[in-house]
Amino acid sequence: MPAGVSFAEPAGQGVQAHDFTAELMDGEPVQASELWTGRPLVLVFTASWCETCAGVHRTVAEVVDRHEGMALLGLVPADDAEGARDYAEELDLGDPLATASDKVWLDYAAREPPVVVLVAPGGRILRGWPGGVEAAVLERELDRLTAP
Amino acid sequence: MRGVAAFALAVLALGACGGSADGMDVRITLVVEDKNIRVEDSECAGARPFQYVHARAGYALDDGAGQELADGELPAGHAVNADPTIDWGVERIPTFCVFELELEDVPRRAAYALRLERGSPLPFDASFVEGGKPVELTLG
Repeated sequence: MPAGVSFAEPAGQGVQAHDFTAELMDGEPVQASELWTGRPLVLVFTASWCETCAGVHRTVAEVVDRHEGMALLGLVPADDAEGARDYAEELDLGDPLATASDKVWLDYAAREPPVVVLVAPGGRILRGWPGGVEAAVLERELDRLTAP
Repeated sequence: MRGVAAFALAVLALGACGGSADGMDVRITLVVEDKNIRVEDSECAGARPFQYVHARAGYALDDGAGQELADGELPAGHAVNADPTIDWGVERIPTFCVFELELEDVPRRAAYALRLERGSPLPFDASFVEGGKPVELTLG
């Protein structure tokens, strides 16, 4: 996270997100709780075979990129690792993409991609959007987390 | 004589479908009754526990006894209202995900079964295909 960036305390309640480890495209593990330490994390549950997912993923990435220090992690099903490499190349977002087990999908109630989940710094789930989220809606949610 | 008449009737019935003399076109409507919340008519895939039913997932059609007759990849599904008798009053409603398959020139058999990458085969009788109507198969 860039130095000097801080985030506002989110308003309201939210359940604690399940921590998980996912495998990045290069085989390295990524720990969700490391990504949400001190900053918001946006998760995009996606799949290479999902025709609407890439558009949702790209939209989310563009909004997240406008908010310095926020993290984005794309997650594909564990059996989609091969397709996900082409998906990642085609999207070319510069944000990490990882395979996640069925348990991770279940823990986040992601029954069908795309699903977008906003996690607050520290790991509280603030919002979830099955089917994707409009840029303006996500923008507003991330703006609220940006310290004044 | 009765055998000849029966054969002629069978040919007549199968003639209503597309396909060659040895094959027939088979249309299948696969309904995944997952009751997932979606926008009606939106693209969809099977929601858990039917997550293996999605665009580009492989399928095969066999004769019900394991002999494969055709195969292919599923198209994307589309969401249909799970209960059209209810006016849900909102955009996102309980839906089923429906996949339309068209298999051309499938060898004629008395019975068929659709096999997906997981789950039990979905059997149907050849008589369901007559007339070119789609065979409706249900998961859920």
